[in-house]
Amino acid sequence: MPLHDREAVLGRLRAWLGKANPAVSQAHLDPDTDIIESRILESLQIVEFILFLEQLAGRRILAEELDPATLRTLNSIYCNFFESQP
Amino acid sequence: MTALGPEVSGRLEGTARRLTALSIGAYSNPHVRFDWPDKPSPDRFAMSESLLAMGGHPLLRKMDDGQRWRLALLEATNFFSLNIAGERELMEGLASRLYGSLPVFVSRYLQHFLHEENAHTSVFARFCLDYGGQIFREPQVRLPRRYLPGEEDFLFFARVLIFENVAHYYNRQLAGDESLWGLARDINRYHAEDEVRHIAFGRELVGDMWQRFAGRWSEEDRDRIRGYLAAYVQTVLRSYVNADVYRTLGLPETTRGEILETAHWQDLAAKSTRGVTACLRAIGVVEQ
Repeated sequence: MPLHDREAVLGRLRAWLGKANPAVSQAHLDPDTDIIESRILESLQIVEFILFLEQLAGRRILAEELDPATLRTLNSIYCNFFESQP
Repeated sequence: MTALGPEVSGRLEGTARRLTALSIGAYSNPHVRFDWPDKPSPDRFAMSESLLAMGGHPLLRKMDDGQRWRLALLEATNFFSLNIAGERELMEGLASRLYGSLPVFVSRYLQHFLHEENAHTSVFARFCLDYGGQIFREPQVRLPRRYLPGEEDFLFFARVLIFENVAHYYNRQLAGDESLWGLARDINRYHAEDEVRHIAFGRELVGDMWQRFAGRWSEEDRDRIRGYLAAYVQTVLRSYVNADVYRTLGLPETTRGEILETAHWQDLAAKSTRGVTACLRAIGVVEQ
C-alpha cells in the first residue's frame, strides 16, 4: 500500500536511514537536515535507498526525477516523490 | 596530485606493454563475430540455473518450464545491463584519464581497454534489446564529494577491479555451461577472454597506486577507504538481484528482499567475491 501521509513517510525514511547508518541517531532527524552533506546517506547507499522509496511510494521512480537535490533532505524527498506524482 | 603520474613502477610498465601486445593479437570485430537469430532459443536457458539469483526462493519451485526460461532470459538481460552500466562508467573514467600525465605505455593500453569495453557494450546492448526487450536501468545518483590526493584515481580503478572480478566469475561459469543457449554462452566467453587482460592490468595498477599512496594517507583514511570498498563489493553483489526483473515477471514487491536472505544467494555472493577478496588481500587493501 503506497504511503502518502507526510509524518508516516518521514517516520519510515528516518527508520531506514537509522538502520543504514547506526552511528547517527535518526529518531529526531530534522526534515531540513542535509542528509547528503552530513553523510547520513552515502553514495553507495543510493541505489538501495531509491528502491526503498519506490516500495514506499508504490511506483517506479524515473531517471529524470533523480538528482542530488531531490534527495537532499527528508522534506525534499517527500515533496518530490510522495506529494506530487509525475 | 593525481595517482596516475609518470612515476609508475617498472612492473606496471611491463604489464601494460605485454597486455597491449595481447590486445592487438586478440583484436576481433564484435559486429560480425556472432550470429543473431530473430528470437532466443526456445529450449535453452540464457542464464545457468545455478546462477539464478532466485535459485533458493520458494517461488522458483512453483514456476513451470516456460516461466523459468523467461526468468533466465531476464536474469541474463540484467547481467548484461549491469555490464553496460559498469562499462559506461568505466569508459567515461578511462577516456578522461587518457594522455594526461600518464606514461605513454599506460595510455596506449588504456586505448585498447576503452575500445574493448565499447565493443562489449554494443554486444550486450543488442542482446538486451533484441531478446530481453529492454536494458534494465541503474537507479544511480552521483553525489559530489571531496578526495585526498590520489584517492579519486585509486577508488576509480579499485571499483573497476571489483566490478570486473565479480562479473568475471559469472562470465567464466556461463562460458563453460554447455547446456546454455549458444549465443549467451559465446557472448560470455568473448567477454571473459578480454576481461582476463583488464583484470590483470587493474590488479597491477591498483597495487601500484596502493603502494605509492597508502603510506601518505592516515590510518583513519586507509580504514575509511577499506570500508568504502567493502561496501562497494556489497553494492555490486546486490545489483545482481534486480527488483525490475521480478516486477517484469509479475512477482510480489517483496521478492528481491526475500532472495537476498536465501542461503543460495549468500553462497553465490561468497563464491563470486572470492577472487576479488583474494586479489585485494594480495595487494594489501584488505588486511590479512
